[in-house]
Amino acid sequence: MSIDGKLGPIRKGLLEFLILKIISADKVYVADMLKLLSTTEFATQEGTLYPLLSKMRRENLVDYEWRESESGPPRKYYKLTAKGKSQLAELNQYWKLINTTISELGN
Amino acid sequence: MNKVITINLNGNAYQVEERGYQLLCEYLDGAEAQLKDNPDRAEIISDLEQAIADKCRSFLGPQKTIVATSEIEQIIHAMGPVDSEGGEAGTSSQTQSSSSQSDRKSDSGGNSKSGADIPKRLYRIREGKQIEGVCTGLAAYFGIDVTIVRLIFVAVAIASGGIGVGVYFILVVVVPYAETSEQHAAAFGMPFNAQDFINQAKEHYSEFKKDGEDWKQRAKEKQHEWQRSWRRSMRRRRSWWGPPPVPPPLVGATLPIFGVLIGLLTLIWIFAVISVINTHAIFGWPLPFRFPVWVAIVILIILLNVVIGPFKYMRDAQYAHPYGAVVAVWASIAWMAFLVFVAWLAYQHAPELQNFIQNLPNVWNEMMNR
Repeated sequence: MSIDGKLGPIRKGLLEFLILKIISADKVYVADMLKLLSTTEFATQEGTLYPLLSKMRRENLVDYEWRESESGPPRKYYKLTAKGKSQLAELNQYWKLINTTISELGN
Repeated sequence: MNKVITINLNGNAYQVEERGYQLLCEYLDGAEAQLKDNPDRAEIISDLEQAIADKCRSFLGPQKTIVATSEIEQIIHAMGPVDSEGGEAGTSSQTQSSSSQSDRKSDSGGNSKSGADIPKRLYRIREGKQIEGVCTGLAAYFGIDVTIVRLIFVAVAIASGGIGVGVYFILVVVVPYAETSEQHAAAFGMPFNAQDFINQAKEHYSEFKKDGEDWKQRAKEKQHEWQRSWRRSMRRRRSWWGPPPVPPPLVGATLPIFGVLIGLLTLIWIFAVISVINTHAIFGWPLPFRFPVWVAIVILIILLNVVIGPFKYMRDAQYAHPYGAVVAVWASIAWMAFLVFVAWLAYQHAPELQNFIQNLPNVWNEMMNR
């Protein structure tokens, strides 16, 4: 298995975590999220992001509201629900735990 | 010079080149196939359409009103493959896109194999209908001309002493209108999406190629035939993809006039047919010597369609108006009144009608004996 084949699933699993993080900072719409991610190794595309956001909304982690934009039709701005916030807090903690484990093991 | 197609992306109109339009169709059809088990499919598709629309807008300016095919390619590349899981991020999208493409190929390959026997279903069809779209639906179902279906229906209705009329209204109640594009396609037994069309055309082409050079010409003709029928089906979907035809200004006011005109002309036509069968003359004007009656009837059918064609077009254009539903209600009330009037006329002229029915077999025999 190539190295990318191993990293793919890791990125895939973490994308949802990152989306929660981005939304927790500010109400954003999809183009904002893509822009923020575009410079990172988590760069992704609409074709991936919209289905993921709809899944997260079904799980009641995020919600959206329509907002007018100066150019063009109204946009969907996403925000975290209470459940989304608590899940983000859990994921944050778990991430710190993993980090400590990885840096301590084998040293 | 390229043909330009106006498309409706989630409520926004854009003009794209024909090839770009085909690419968009393939992308969205593929997305729909990927998401077929997703409960939010409709919402995700409309989000994707919105995103495509935003990207299209970024390519347009005051001097540039058309999105080119190369720009559509860029847009689709930027959108990325649609992933039903809502998962993978990052650079592996390249491998993913190629794998999902091959998936789709095998998928649609399976479709096109069964494409020869696409299920045909009986629907009523609004386009070109006279009363409730039963005859247009039957014509599509059996793949014959609607005028022939109407003639058979009228003949059966008269011969059966009104039972045919009852059958008509039972069909109106039992058979639904073809509302969606899929239903339209099923009504004609045609493949529904662009991918299927292309696959079928390709399949036919490779079949012909096997049999040698001689068949190439035929394969090309077949492809053209598919393209034509695809365009025809696009025209039927026009209310879905793109703006409806511009309604004439005097909507509503002119509708009764066209309705009455069409009705009157049809009535005159019925009288002409009856008179030519009964007396071998149209309103006292005799046919030339030894001129067969059935030829006269065929000419009358063609004449009727030529004369009322433009009126029908004007009438149908009005249905596309925002108040088309109201207009359509008025039109059907007018049709009911017209039918009652015809029934009353038939009752008044019972002897002539009987004569007409008795004479029908003669016309048939004359036609068969030639």
